[in-house]
Amino acid sequence: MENKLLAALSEHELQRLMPLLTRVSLAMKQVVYRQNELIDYVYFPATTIVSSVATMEDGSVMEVATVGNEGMVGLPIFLRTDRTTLSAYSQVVGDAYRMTADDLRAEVQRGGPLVNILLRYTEALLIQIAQGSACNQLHTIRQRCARWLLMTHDRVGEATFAITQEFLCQMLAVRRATVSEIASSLQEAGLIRYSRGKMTITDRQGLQAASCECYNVIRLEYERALAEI
Amino acid sequence: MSTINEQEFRTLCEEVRENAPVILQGLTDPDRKTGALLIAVFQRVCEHLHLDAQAQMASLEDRDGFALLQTLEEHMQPEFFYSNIIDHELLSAL
Repeated sequence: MENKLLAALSEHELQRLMPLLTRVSLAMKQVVYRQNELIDYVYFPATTIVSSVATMEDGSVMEVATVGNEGMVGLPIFLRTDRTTLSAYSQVVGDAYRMTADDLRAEVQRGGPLVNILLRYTEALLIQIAQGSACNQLHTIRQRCARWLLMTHDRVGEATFAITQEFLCQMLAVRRATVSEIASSLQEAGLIRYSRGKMTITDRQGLQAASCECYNVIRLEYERALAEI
Repeated sequence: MSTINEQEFRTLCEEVRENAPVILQGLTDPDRKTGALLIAVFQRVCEHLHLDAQAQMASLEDRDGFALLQTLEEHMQPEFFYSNIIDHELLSAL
Protein backbone atom coordinates (compact mmCIF):
# COMPACT_ATOMS: atom_id res chain seq x y z
CA MET A 1 0.00 0.00 0.00
CA GLU A 2 1.73 3.21 -1.19
CA ASN A 3 -0.48 5.61 0.75
CA LYS A 4 1.05 6.08 4.18
CA LEU A 5 -2.23 6.75 6.00
CA LEU A 6 -3.81 3.57 4.69
CA ALA A 7 -0.55 1.70 5.26
CA ALA A 8 -0.70 2.72 8.93
CA LEU A 9 -3.91 0.69 9.36
CA SER A 10 -3.72 -2.88 10.60
CA GLU A 11 -3.91 -5.53 7.88
CA HIS A 12 -7.35 -6.53 9.12
CA GLU A 13 -8.63 -2.94 9.05
CA LEU A 14 -7.14 -2.27 5.62
CA GLN A 15 -8.77 -5.40 4.20
CA ARG A 16 -12.10 -4.27 5.64
CA LEU A 17 -11.76 -0.89 3.89
CA MET A 18 -10.39 -2.16 0.55
CA PRO A 19 -13.84 -2.83 -0.98
CA LEU A 20 -14.61 0.87 -0.41
CA LEU A 21 -11.44 2.00 -2.21
CA THR A 22 -11.05 2.20 -5.99
CA ARG A 23 -7.64 2.76 -7.53
CA VAL A 24 -7.95 5.52 -10.15
CA SER A 25 -5.52 7.39 -12.38
CA LEU A 26 -5.55 11.19 -12.20
CA ALA A 27 -4.61 13.25 -15.25
CA MET A 28 -2.44 16.34 -14.92
CA LYS A 29 -4.66 19.31 -14.00
CA GLN A 30 -7.53 17.02 -13.12
CA VAL A 31 -9.96 18.77 -10.82
CA VAL A 32 -10.48 16.76 -7.65
CA TYR A 33 -12.92 19.26 -6.23
CA ARG A 34 -13.91 22.81 -7.04
CA GLN A 35 -14.30 25.85 -4.85
CA ASN A 36 -17.72 25.82 -3.10
CA GLU A 37 -18.95 22.72 -4.93
CA LEU A 38 -20.09 19.48 -3.31
CA ILE A 39 -17.26 17.01 -2.67
CA ASP A 40 -18.30 13.57 -3.93
CA TYR A 41 -15.09 11.64 -3.32
CA VAL A 42 -11.99 11.70 -1.13
CA TYR A 43 -8.63 10.53 -2.45
CA PHE A 44 -5.69 8.80 -0.80
CA PRO A 45 -2.82 9.52 -3.24
CA ALA A 46 -0.57 6.61 -4.14
CA THR A 47 1.68 8.12 -6.80
CA THR A 48 -0.14 11.34 -7.71
CA ILE A 49 0.23 14.70 -5.98
CA VAL A 50 -2.70 17.03 -5.46
CA SER A 51 -2.53 20.75 -4.74
CA SER A 52 -5.11 22.61 -2.69
CA VAL A 53 -5.30 26.13 -4.06
CA ALA A 54 -6.99 29.36 -3.11
CA THR A 55 -8.59 31.13 -6.08
CA MET A 56 -9.04 34.89 -6.17
CA GLU A 57 -11.86 36.79 -7.95
CA ASP A 58 -9.55 37.65 -10.87
CA GLY A 59 -8.83 33.94 -11.40
CA SER A 60 -5.32 34.00 -9.97
CA VAL A 61 -4.51 31.05 -7.75
CA MET A 62 -1.97 30.12 -5.13
CA GLU A 63 -1.21 26.76 -3.61
CA VAL A 64 -1.93 26.46 0.10
CA ALA A 65 -1.14 22.77 0.57
CA THR A 66 0.45 19.85 -1.24
CA VAL A 67 -0.91 16.35 -0.66
CA GLY A 68 0.89 13.23 -1.77
CA ASN A 69 1.13 9.68 -0.50
CA GLU A 70 1.46 10.97 3.07
CA GLY A 71 -2.10 12.25 3.12
CA MET A 72 -5.70 12.44 1.99
CA VAL A 73 -7.52 14.90 -0.25
CA GLY A 74 -11.00 15.77 0.91
CA LEU A 75 -10.44 16.67 4.54
CA PRO A 76 -13.67 18.78 4.64
CA ILE A 77 -15.61 15.51 4.53
CA PHE A 78 -13.68 14.20 7.54
CA LEU A 79 -14.39 17.50 9.28
CA ARG A 80 -18.10 16.97 8.65
CA THR A 81 -18.74 19.59 6.02
CA ASP A 82 -19.45 18.96 2.36
CA ARG A 83 -17.55 21.70 0.49
CA THR A 84 -14.76 24.22 0.87
CA THR A 85 -13.60 27.57 -0.48
CA LEU A 86 -10.46 25.88 -1.83
CA SER A 87 -10.09 23.92 -5.05
CA ALA A 88 -7.92 20.85 -5.48
CA TYR A 89 -6.33 19.40 -8.59
CA SER A 90 -3.59 16.98 -9.48
CA GLN A 91 -0.21 18.49 -10.22
CA VAL A 92 1.57 15.24 -11.05
CA VAL A 93 0.00 12.46 -13.10
CA GLY A 94 -0.45 9.29 -11.05
CA ASP A 95 -2.78 7.04 -9.11
CA ALA A 96 -4.86 7.44 -5.99
CA TYR A 97 -7.30 5.36 -3.94
CA ARG A 98 -10.74 6.90 -4.17
CA MET A 99 -13.52 6.54 -1.59
CA THR A 100 -16.98 8.07 -1.78
CA ALA A 101 -17.66 10.93 0.61
CA ASP A 102 -20.58 8.94 2.03
CA ASP A 103 -18.34 5.98 2.83
CA LEU A 104 -15.85 8.21 4.63
CA ARG A 105 -18.68 9.83 6.58
CA ALA A 106 -19.82 6.36 7.65
CA GLU A 107 -16.27 5.52 8.74
CA VAL A 108 -16.06 8.72 10.76
CA GLN A 109 -19.38 7.89 12.37
CA ARG A 110 -18.11 4.40 13.13
CA GLY A 111 -15.03 5.88 14.81
CA GLY A 112 -12.46 3.26 13.85
CA PRO A 113 -8.66 3.50 13.59
CA LEU A 114 -8.90 5.55 10.39
CA VAL A 115 -10.38 8.43 12.38
CA ASN A 116 -7.38 8.50 14.71
CA ILE A 117 -5.01 8.47 11.73
CA LEU A 118 -6.89 11.31 10.02
CA LEU A 119 -6.83 13.39 13.20
CA ARG A 120 -3.02 13.13 13.30
CA TYR A 121 -2.88 13.92 9.59
CA THR A 122 -5.10 16.98 10.04
CA GLU A 123 -2.67 18.38 12.61
CA ALA A 124 0.30 17.83 10.26
CA LEU A 125 -1.57 19.45 7.38
CA LEU A 126 -2.41 22.48 9.52
CA ILE A 127 1.29 22.85 10.29
CA GLN A 128 2.09 22.65 6.57
CA ILE A 129 -0.44 25.38 5.79
CA ALA A 130 0.67 27.61 8.70
CA GLN A 131 4.38 27.19 8.00
CA GLY A 132 3.77 27.70 4.28
CA SER A 133 1.89 30.90 4.98
CA ALA A 134 4.78 32.27 7.07
CA CYS A 135 7.26 31.08 4.45
CA ASN A 136 5.42 32.93 1.70
CA GLN A 137 5.77 36.17 3.65
CA LEU A 138 9.29 35.81 5.00
CA HIS A 139 11.40 33.84 2.53
CA THR A 140 12.67 34.52 -0.97
CA ILE A 141 11.04 33.08 -4.05
CA ARG A 142 14.20 31.04 -4.70
CA GLN A 143 13.95 29.47 -1.22
CA ARG A 144 10.24 28.80 -1.66
CA CYS A 145 10.82 27.27 -5.07
CA ALA A 146 13.53 24.99 -3.63
CA ARG A 147 11.17 23.97 -0.81
CA TRP A 148 8.35 23.22 -3.23
CA LEU A 149 10.63 21.11 -5.42
CA LEU A 150 11.89 19.16 -2.40
CA MET A 151 8.37 18.51 -1.15
CA THR A 152 7.29 17.34 -4.59
CA HIS A 153 10.40 15.18 -4.92
CA ASP A 154 9.64 13.51 -1.56
CA ARG A 155 6.13 12.66 -2.66
CA VAL A 156 6.88 11.53 -6.22
CA GLY A 157 9.79 9.38 -5.08
CA GLU A 158 11.53 9.75 -8.43
CA ALA A 159 14.30 12.14 -9.43
CA THR A 160 12.45 13.32 -12.56
CA PHE A 161 8.86 14.53 -12.73
CA ALA A 162 6.75 16.53 -15.18
CA ILE A 163 5.96 20.12 -14.26
CA THR A 164 5.12 23.02 -16.52
CA GLN A 165 6.35 26.56 -15.94
CA GLU A 166 2.79 27.83 -15.62
CA PHE A 167 2.09 25.34 -12.87
CA LEU A 168 5.16 26.46 -10.97
CA CYS A 169 3.97 30.08 -11.42
CA GLN A 170 0.66 29.14 -9.82
CA MET A 171 2.25 27.18 -6.99
CA LEU A 172 4.49 30.10 -6.07
CA ALA A 173 2.12 32.90 -7.14
CA VAL A 174 4.77 34.62 -9.23
CA ARG A 175 5.10 35.73 -12.84
CA ARG A 176 6.35 33.43 -15.57
CA ALA A 177 9.51 35.50 -16.04
CA THR A 178 10.34 35.09 -12.34
CA VAL A 179 9.93 31.30 -12.46
CA SER A 180 12.11 31.19 -15.56
CA GLU A 181 14.78 33.24 -13.82
CA ILE A 182 14.72 31.09 -10.64
CA ALA A 183 14.79 27.83 -12.60
CA SER A 184 17.79 29.08 -14.58
CA SER A 185 19.54 30.09 -11.38
CA LEU A 186 18.95 26.67 -9.74
CA GLN A 187 20.02 24.97 -12.95
CA GLU A 188 23.22 27.00 -13.22
CA ALA A 189 24.00 26.05 -9.61
CA GLY A 190 23.71 22.39 -10.67
CA LEU A 191 20.79 21.68 -8.35
CA ILE A 192 18.18 20.83 -10.99
CA ARG A 193 17.86 20.13 -14.69
CA TYR A 194 14.76 21.40 -16.47
CA SER A 195 13.96 20.62 -20.06
CA ARG A 196 10.67 20.39 -21.96
CA GLY A 197 8.62 20.28 -18.78
CA LYS A 198 10.71 17.56 -17.14
CA MET A 199 12.25 18.54 -13.81
CA THR A 200 15.18 16.49 -12.52
CA ILE A 201 16.60 17.00 -9.05
CA THR A 202 20.33 16.57 -9.59
CA ASP A 203 21.65 17.73 -6.20
CA ARG A 204 19.14 17.19 -3.43
CA GLN A 205 21.51 18.24 -0.66
CA GLY A 206 22.30 21.45 -2.52
CA LEU A 207 18.59 22.08 -3.02
CA GLN A 208 18.02 21.67 0.71
CA ALA A 209 20.73 24.23 1.35
CA ALA A 210 19.03 26.59 -1.12
CA SER A 211 15.69 26.11 0.65
CA CYS A 212 14.61 27.58 4.00
CA GLU A 213 13.98 25.90 7.36
CA CYS A 214 10.31 25.48 6.46
CA TYR A 215 11.03 22.36 4.40
CA ASN A 216 12.40 20.51 7.44
CA VAL A 217 9.72 21.83 9.80
CA ILE A 218 6.98 20.46 7.56
CA ARG A 219 8.76 17.17 6.80
CA LEU A 220 9.47 16.45 10.47
CA GLU A 221 5.88 17.20 11.44
CA TYR A 222 4.60 14.59 8.97
CA GLU A 223 7.16 12.08 10.21
CA ARG A 224 6.10 12.74 13.81
CA ALA A 225 2.41 12.47 12.95
CA LEU A 226 2.84 9.10 11.27
CA ALA A 227 5.22 7.81 13.93
CA GLU A 228 2.67 8.49 16.66
CA ILE A 229 -0.08 6.49 14.99
CA MET B 1 7.80 27.56 -35.66
CA SER B 2 4.00 27.47 -35.72
CA THR B 3 2.30 29.30 -32.87
CA ILE B 4 -1.02 29.53 -31.06
CA ASN B 5 -2.46 32.58 -29.32
CA GLU B 6 -4.96 32.89 -26.48
CA GLN B 7 -8.02 33.44 -28.66
CA GLU B 8 -7.16 30.52 -30.94
CA PHE B 9 -6.73 28.23 -27.93
CA ARG B 10 -9.96 29.47 -26.38
CA THR B 11 -11.81 28.69 -29.60
CA LEU B 12 -10.40 25.15 -29.71
CA CYS B 13 -11.49 24.59 -26.10
CA GLU B 14 -14.97 25.89 -26.89
CA GLU B 15 -15.23 23.49 -29.85
CA VAL B 16 -14.27 20.54 -27.65
CA ARG B 17 -16.66 21.67 -24.97
CA GLU B 18 -19.52 21.77 -27.49
CA ASN B 19 -18.54 18.30 -28.60
CA ALA B 20 -18.14 17.02 -25.02
CA PRO B 21 -21.29 14.85 -24.97
CA VAL B 22 -19.87 12.82 -27.88
CA ILE B 23 -16.32 12.70 -26.48
CA LEU B 24 -17.51 11.60 -23.07
CA GLN B 25 -20.04 9.10 -24.36
CA GLY B 26 -19.65 5.77 -22.57
CA LEU B 27 -17.34 7.18 -19.91
CA THR B 28 -18.99 6.81 -16.55
CA ASP B 29 -16.01 7.24 -14.24
CA PRO B 30 -15.58 10.95 -13.44
CA ASP B 31 -11.82 10.50 -13.18
CA ARG B 32 -11.49 9.38 -16.80
CA LYS B 33 -13.48 12.26 -18.26
CA THR B 34 -10.83 14.94 -17.66
CA GLY B 35 -8.20 12.92 -19.52
CA ALA B 36 -10.56 12.40 -22.46
CA LEU B 37 -11.24 16.14 -22.82
CA LEU B 38 -7.56 17.05 -22.50
CA ILE B 39 -6.62 14.56 -25.21
CA ALA B 40 -9.34 15.93 -27.49
CA VAL B 41 -7.99 19.48 -27.08
CA PHE B 42 -4.43 18.25 -27.51
CA GLN B 43 -5.32 16.71 -30.87
CA ARG B 44 -6.92 19.97 -32.02
CA VAL B 45 -3.96 22.01 -30.83
CA CYS B 46 -1.63 19.71 -32.76
CA GLU B 47 -3.78 20.07 -35.88
CA HIS B 48 -3.64 23.83 -35.49
CA LEU B 49 0.16 23.73 -35.11
CA HIS B 50 0.58 21.19 -37.94
CA LEU B 51 2.17 18.73 -35.52
CA ASP B 52 1.81 14.96 -35.57
CA ALA B 53 -0.11 14.41 -32.33
CA GLN B 54 1.18 10.88 -31.78
CA ALA B 55 4.80 11.86 -32.35
CA GLN B 56 4.42 14.91 -30.13
CA MET B 57 2.90 12.84 -27.34
CA ALA B 58 5.64 10.22 -27.66
CA SER B 59 8.38 12.86 -27.58
CA LEU B 60 6.95 14.22 -24.32
CA GLU B 61 6.43 10.73 -22.80
CA ASP B 62 2.95 11.79 -21.90
CA ARG B 63 0.56 10.32 -19.42
CA ASP B 64 -2.80 12.06 -19.49
CA GLY B 65 -2.60 15.76 -20.04
CA PHE B 66 1.03 16.74 -19.80
CA ALA B 67 1.53 16.78 -23.59
CA LEU B 68 -1.16 19.42 -24.03
CA LEU B 69 0.28 21.74 -21.39
CA GLN B 70 3.87 21.39 -22.53
CA THR B 71 2.92 21.84 -26.20
CA LEU B 72 1.21 25.10 -25.24
CA GLU B 73 4.30 26.18 -23.28
CA GLU B 74 6.44 25.62 -26.36
CA HIS B 75 4.17 27.17 -29.00
CA MET B 76 2.09 29.92 -27.38
CA GLN B 77 2.79 33.36 -28.77
CA PRO B 78 2.36 35.72 -27.04
CA GLU B 79 2.38 33.95 -23.67
CA PHE B 80 -0.96 33.55 -21.93
CA PHE B 81 -2.31 31.69 -18.89
CA TYR B 82 -3.83 28.58 -20.40
CA SER B 83 -4.83 26.99 -17.04
CA ASN B 84 -7.71 29.39 -16.51
CA ILE B 85 -9.00 28.72 -20.01
CA ILE B 86 -8.78 24.95 -19.50
CA ASP B 87 -10.63 25.27 -16.18
CA HIS B 88 -13.34 27.62 -17.35
CA GLU B 89 -13.84 26.80 -21.03
CA LEU B 90 -13.19 23.08 -20.93
CA LEU B 91 -13.35 21.26 -17.61
CA SER B 92 -16.47 23.08 -16.50
CA ALA B 93 -18.19 20.91 -19.14
CA LEU B 94 -17.82 17.96 -16.76
